Amino acid sequence: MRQPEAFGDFFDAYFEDLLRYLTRRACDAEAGLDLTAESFAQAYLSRRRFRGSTEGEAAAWLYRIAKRQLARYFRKGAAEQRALRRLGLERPELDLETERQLERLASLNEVRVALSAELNELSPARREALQLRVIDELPYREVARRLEISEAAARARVSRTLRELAAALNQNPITEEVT
Amino acid sequence: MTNQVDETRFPAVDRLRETLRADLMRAARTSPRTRPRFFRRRRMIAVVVVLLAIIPAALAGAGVFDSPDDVEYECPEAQRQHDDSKVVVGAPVEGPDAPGSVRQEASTQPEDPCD
Repeated sequence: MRQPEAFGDFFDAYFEDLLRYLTRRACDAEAGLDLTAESFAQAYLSRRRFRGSTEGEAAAWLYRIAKRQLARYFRKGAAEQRALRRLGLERPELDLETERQLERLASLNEVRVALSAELNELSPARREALQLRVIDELPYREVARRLEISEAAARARVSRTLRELAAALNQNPITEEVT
Repeated sequence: MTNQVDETRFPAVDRLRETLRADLMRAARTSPRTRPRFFRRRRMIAVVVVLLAIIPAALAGAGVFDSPDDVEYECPEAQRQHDDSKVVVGAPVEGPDAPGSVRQEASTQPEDPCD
Protein backbone atom coordinates (compact mmCIF):
# COMPACT_ATOMS: atom_id res chain seq x y z
CA MET A 1 0.00 0.00 0.00
CA ARG A 2 2.98 2.27 0.31
CA GLN A 3 3.43 2.43 -3.45
CA PRO A 4 1.04 4.70 -5.38
CA GLU A 5 -0.28 1.82 -7.52
CA ALA A 6 -1.08 -0.34 -4.50
CA PHE A 7 -2.72 2.63 -2.83
CA GLY A 8 -4.84 3.05 -5.98
CA ASP A 9 -6.14 -0.50 -5.56
CA PHE A 10 -6.84 0.18 -1.90
CA PHE A 11 -8.72 3.33 -2.93
CA ASP A 12 -10.84 1.41 -5.44
CA ALA A 13 -11.70 -1.24 -2.87
CA TYR A 14 -12.90 1.15 -0.15
CA PHE A 15 -14.01 4.35 -1.86
CA GLU A 16 -17.68 3.51 -2.23
CA ASP A 17 -18.09 2.00 1.23
CA LEU A 18 -16.35 4.91 2.89
CA LEU A 19 -18.32 7.45 0.85
CA ARG A 20 -21.58 5.76 1.82
CA TYR A 21 -20.56 5.58 5.49
CA LEU A 22 -19.46 9.21 5.73
CA THR A 23 -22.42 10.55 3.77
CA ARG A 24 -24.81 8.75 6.10
CA ARG A 25 -22.95 9.88 9.19
CA ALA A 26 -22.79 13.51 8.05
CA CYS A 27 -26.32 13.21 6.62
CA ASP A 28 -25.11 15.27 3.67
CA ALA A 29 -23.76 14.24 0.25
CA GLU A 30 -21.34 17.13 -0.16
CA ALA A 31 -19.92 16.73 3.33
CA GLY A 32 -19.64 12.97 2.74
CA LEU A 33 -17.58 13.54 -0.38
CA ASP A 34 -15.41 16.18 1.32
CA LEU A 35 -14.72 13.84 4.21
CA THR A 36 -14.01 10.88 1.94
CA ALA A 37 -11.56 12.82 -0.23
CA GLU A 38 -9.76 14.24 2.81
CA SER A 39 -9.63 10.84 4.53
CA PHE A 40 -8.01 9.19 1.51
CA ALA A 41 -5.60 12.10 1.05
CA GLN A 42 -4.61 11.87 4.70
CA ALA A 43 -4.26 8.09 4.47
CA TYR A 44 -1.98 8.50 1.47
CA LEU A 45 0.20 11.10 3.16
CA SER A 46 0.54 9.06 6.35
CA ARG A 47 0.75 5.62 4.69
CA ARG A 48 4.30 5.08 5.98
CA ARG A 49 3.00 5.18 9.53
CA PHE A 50 0.64 2.28 8.82
CA ARG A 51 2.06 -0.72 10.67
CA GLY A 52 -0.48 -3.37 9.71
CA SER A 53 -0.08 -6.07 7.12
CA THR A 54 -3.56 -7.33 6.31
CA GLU A 55 -6.35 -5.78 4.27
CA GLY A 56 -8.58 -5.78 7.34
CA GLU A 57 -6.01 -3.78 9.30
CA ALA A 58 -5.68 -1.34 6.42
CA ALA A 59 -9.46 -0.86 6.33
CA ALA A 60 -9.61 -0.34 10.10
CA TRP A 61 -6.81 2.21 9.83
CA LEU A 62 -8.67 4.08 7.06
CA TYR A 63 -11.89 4.16 9.08
CA ARG A 64 -10.01 5.46 12.12
CA ILE A 65 -8.78 8.35 9.99
CA ALA A 66 -12.31 8.88 8.64
CA LYS A 67 -13.84 8.90 12.13
CA ARG A 68 -11.36 11.50 13.28
CA GLN A 69 -12.33 13.61 10.27
CA LEU A 70 -15.99 13.12 11.06
CA ALA A 71 -15.56 14.11 14.70
CA ARG A 72 -13.74 17.23 13.59
CA TYR A 73 -16.51 17.94 11.09
CA PHE A 74 -19.13 17.78 13.82
CA ARG A 75 -17.00 19.94 16.08
CA LYS A 76 -16.09 22.62 13.55
CA GLY A 77 -19.01 22.36 11.17
CA ALA A 78 -16.76 21.96 8.12
CA ALA A 79 -14.63 19.19 6.67
CA GLU A 80 -10.89 19.62 6.95
CA GLN A 81 -8.98 20.00 3.66
CA ARG A 82 -5.42 20.06 4.95
CA ALA A 83 -4.24 16.84 3.31
CA LEU A 84 -5.96 17.70 0.04
CA ARG A 85 -4.21 21.07 0.00
CA ARG A 86 -0.86 19.43 0.75
CA LEU A 87 -1.35 17.27 -2.31
CA GLY A 88 -2.48 20.28 -4.34
CA LEU A 89 -5.92 18.73 -4.81
CA GLU A 90 -9.49 19.88 -4.68
CA ARG A 91 -12.28 17.42 -4.27
CA PRO A 92 -14.25 16.86 -7.50
CA GLU A 93 -17.23 19.11 -8.15
CA LEU A 94 -20.54 17.58 -7.17
CA ASP A 95 -23.18 18.13 -9.85
CA LEU A 96 -26.85 17.63 -9.16
CA GLU A 97 -27.06 14.18 -10.75
CA THR A 98 -24.04 12.91 -8.82
CA GLU A 99 -25.45 14.34 -5.60
CA ARG A 100 -28.75 12.55 -6.17
CA GLN A 101 -27.01 9.26 -6.88
CA LEU A 102 -24.87 9.71 -3.81
CA GLU A 103 -27.96 10.35 -1.69
CA ARG A 104 -29.50 7.14 -3.07
CA LEU A 105 -26.28 5.24 -2.47
CA ALA A 106 -26.30 6.33 1.16
CA SER A 107 -30.10 6.02 1.52
CA LEU A 108 -30.09 9.55 2.88
CA ASN A 109 -33.83 10.05 2.55
CA GLU A 110 -34.50 7.11 4.84
CA VAL A 111 -31.89 8.35 7.26
CA ARG A 112 -33.44 11.83 7.29
CA VAL A 113 -36.95 10.48 7.84
CA ALA A 114 -35.73 8.33 10.71
CA LEU A 115 -33.79 11.25 12.17
CA SER A 116 -36.77 13.53 11.88
CA ALA A 117 -39.00 10.97 13.59
CA GLU A 118 -36.54 10.62 16.44
CA LEU A 119 -36.26 14.40 16.77
CA ASN A 120 -40.04 14.61 17.07
CA GLU A 121 -39.88 12.19 19.98
CA LEU A 122 -37.71 14.60 21.95
CA SER A 123 -39.15 16.91 24.54
CA PRO A 124 -39.58 20.52 23.33
CA ALA A 125 -36.81 21.72 25.66
CA ARG A 126 -34.33 19.17 24.33
CA ARG A 127 -35.33 19.67 20.73
CA GLU A 128 -34.88 23.42 21.11
CA ALA A 129 -31.43 22.95 22.69
CA LEU A 130 -30.40 20.72 19.81
CA GLN A 131 -31.84 23.11 17.25
CA LEU A 132 -29.94 26.08 18.69
CA ARG A 133 -26.64 24.28 19.02
CA VAL A 134 -26.54 21.84 16.07
CA ILE A 135 -28.75 23.42 13.42
CA ASP A 136 -28.25 27.13 14.19
CA GLU A 137 -24.64 26.48 15.34
CA LEU A 138 -24.85 28.99 18.16
CA PRO A 139 -22.17 29.09 20.85
CA TYR A 140 -23.14 27.51 24.16
CA ARG A 141 -23.21 30.91 25.85
CA GLU A 142 -25.94 32.03 23.43
CA VAL A 143 -27.80 28.70 23.72
CA ALA A 144 -27.78 29.12 27.49
CA ARG A 145 -29.02 32.71 27.26
CA ARG A 146 -31.93 31.76 25.01
CA LEU A 147 -32.90 28.77 27.11
CA GLU A 148 -32.46 30.85 30.31
CA ILE A 149 -30.21 28.25 31.90
CA SER A 150 -26.52 28.17 32.80
CA GLU A 151 -23.90 27.45 30.15
CA ALA A 152 -22.94 24.20 31.91
CA ALA A 153 -26.58 23.11 31.92
CA ALA A 154 -26.89 23.94 28.22
CA ARG A 155 -23.84 21.81 27.42
CA ALA A 156 -25.18 18.94 29.48
CA ARG A 157 -28.60 19.14 27.85
CA VAL A 158 -27.23 19.12 24.31
CA SER A 159 -24.77 16.34 25.08
CA ARG A 160 -27.41 14.16 26.77
CA THR A 161 -29.84 14.73 23.92
CA LEU A 162 -27.27 13.76 21.30
CA ARG A 163 -26.43 10.57 23.21
CA GLU A 164 -30.08 9.61 23.47
CA LEU A 165 -30.65 10.40 19.81
CA ALA A 166 -27.69 8.24 18.84
CA ALA A 167 -28.96 5.39 21.01
CA ALA A 168 -32.43 5.65 19.44
CA LEU A 169 -31.01 5.67 15.91
CA ASN A 170 -28.93 2.60 16.74
CA GLN A 171 -32.14 0.72 17.46
CA ASN A 172 -33.48 1.63 14.02
CA PRO A 173 -32.50 -0.86 11.26
CA ILE A 174 -32.33 1.97 8.71
CA THR A 175 -29.94 4.09 10.69
CA GLU A 176 -28.07 1.64 12.88
CA GLU A 177 -24.80 2.13 11.04
CA VAL A 178 -25.23 5.89 11.08
CA THR A 179 -24.24 6.35 14.70
CA MET B 1 -22.39 -9.57 -9.53
CA THR B 2 -23.54 -7.17 -6.82
CA ASN B 3 -20.74 -4.77 -7.69
CA GLN B 4 -21.79 -4.78 -11.34
CA VAL B 5 -25.35 -3.95 -10.36
CA ASP B 6 -24.12 -1.14 -8.10
CA GLU B 7 -21.91 0.24 -10.85
CA THR B 8 -24.83 0.46 -13.24
CA ARG B 9 -27.05 1.98 -10.55
CA PHE B 10 -24.62 4.75 -9.68
CA PRO B 11 -22.53 5.63 -12.74
CA ALA B 12 -22.01 9.21 -11.53
CA VAL B 13 -20.55 7.91 -8.28
CA ASP B 14 -18.24 5.68 -10.33
CA ARG B 15 -17.11 8.70 -12.32
CA LEU B 16 -16.53 10.51 -9.05
CA ARG B 17 -14.34 7.64 -7.87
CA GLU B 18 -12.36 7.59 -11.11
CA THR B 19 -11.82 11.35 -11.04
CA LEU B 20 -10.69 11.42 -7.42
CA ARG B 21 -8.48 8.37 -7.92
CA ALA B 22 -6.80 9.92 -10.97
CA ASP B 23 -6.26 13.21 -9.13
CA LEU B 24 -4.81 11.41 -6.13
CA MET B 25 -2.47 9.28 -8.21
CA ARG B 26 -1.29 12.26 -10.24
CA ALA B 27 -0.65 14.27 -7.08
CA ALA B 28 1.14 11.29 -5.56
CA ARG B 29 3.55 11.15 -8.48
CA THR B 30 4.22 14.87 -8.78
CA SER B 31 3.97 16.34 -5.32
CA PRO B 32 7.38 16.58 -3.64
CA ARG B 33 5.73 16.08 -0.26
CA THR B 34 4.64 12.59 -1.23
CA ARG B 35 7.99 11.34 -2.48
CA PRO B 36 10.22 9.26 -0.22
CA ARG B 37 12.32 11.34 2.17
CA PHE B 38 15.60 10.54 0.43
CA PHE B 39 14.28 11.81 -2.89
CA ARG B 40 12.83 14.89 -1.26
CA ARG B 41 16.26 15.69 0.20
CA ARG B 42 18.25 14.68 -2.85
CA ARG B 43 18.25 18.16 -4.39
CA MET B 44 19.32 19.76 -1.12
CA ILE B 45 22.13 17.21 -0.71
CA ALA B 46 23.36 17.90 -4.26
CA VAL B 47 23.39 21.66 -3.62
CA VAL B 48 25.36 21.22 -0.39
CA VAL B 49 27.93 18.96 -2.10
CA VAL B 50 28.41 21.42 -4.96
CA LEU B 51 28.76 24.32 -2.54
CA LEU B 52 31.32 22.38 -0.47
CA ALA B 53 33.35 21.79 -3.63
CA ILE B 54 33.02 25.25 -5.12
CA ILE B 55 33.48 27.54 -2.12
CA PRO B 56 37.04 26.47 -1.09
CA ALA B 57 38.16 26.46 -4.75
CA ALA B 58 36.71 29.93 -5.30
CA LEU B 59 38.35 31.26 -2.15
CA ALA B 60 41.71 29.75 -3.17
CA GLY B 61 41.32 31.23 -6.66
CA ALA B 62 40.69 34.62 -5.12
CA GLY B 63 43.96 34.27 -3.18
CA VAL B 64 42.32 34.37 0.23
CA PHE B 65 44.69 31.70 1.55
CA ASP B 66 47.91 33.15 -0.02
CA SER B 67 50.54 34.89 2.10
CA PRO B 68 51.34 38.40 0.95
CA ASP B 69 54.62 38.56 -1.05
CA ASP B 70 55.62 42.09 -0.18
CA VAL B 71 55.43 42.57 3.53
CA GLU B 72 56.23 46.06 4.62
CA TYR B 73 57.88 46.41 8.01
CA GLU B 74 57.99 49.68 9.88
CA CYS B 75 61.49 48.88 11.06
CA PRO B 76 64.09 49.11 8.20
CA GLU B 77 66.32 46.40 9.75
CA ALA B 78 63.42 43.96 9.92
CA GLN B 79 62.52 44.81 6.35
CA ARG B 80 66.12 44.08 5.26
CA GLN B 81 66.15 40.74 7.09
CA HIS B 82 62.84 39.84 5.44
CA ASP B 83 64.11 40.81 1.99
CA ASP B 84 67.32 38.82 2.48
CA SER B 85 65.63 35.77 3.89
CA LYS B 86 65.43 32.55 1.93
CA VAL B 87 62.93 30.09 3.09
CA VAL B 88 64.32 26.56 3.30
CA VAL B 89 62.00 23.70 4.04
CA GLY B 90 63.25 20.83 6.22
CA ALA B 91 65.79 20.40 8.96
CA PRO B 92 69.07 22.36 8.56
CA VAL B 93 72.02 20.23 7.45
CA GLU B 94 74.43 22.28 9.54
CA GLY B 95 74.31 24.86 12.24
CA PRO B 96 72.87 24.80 15.73
CA ASP B 97 69.51 23.37 14.64
CA ALA B 98 71.04 20.55 12.56
CA PRO B 99 70.23 17.05 13.86
CA GLY B 100 72.91 15.91 16.31
CA SER B 101 74.30 19.37 16.97
CA VAL B 102 74.41 20.85 20.44
CA ARG B 103 72.34 23.91 20.76
CA GLN B 104 74.04 26.81 22.45
CA GLU B 105 72.17 28.36 25.28
CA ALA B 106 70.08 31.12 23.90
CA SER B 107 69.72 34.50 25.46
CA THR B 108 66.72 34.82 27.71
CA GLN B 109 65.81 38.09 26.00
CA PRO B 110 64.62 37.87 22.38
CA GLU B 111 66.63 39.93 19.98
CA ASP B 112 64.82 42.80 18.42
CA PRO B 113 66.64 44.14 15.36
CA CYS B 114 64.97 47.47 15.81
CA ASP B 115 66.19 48.11 19.37
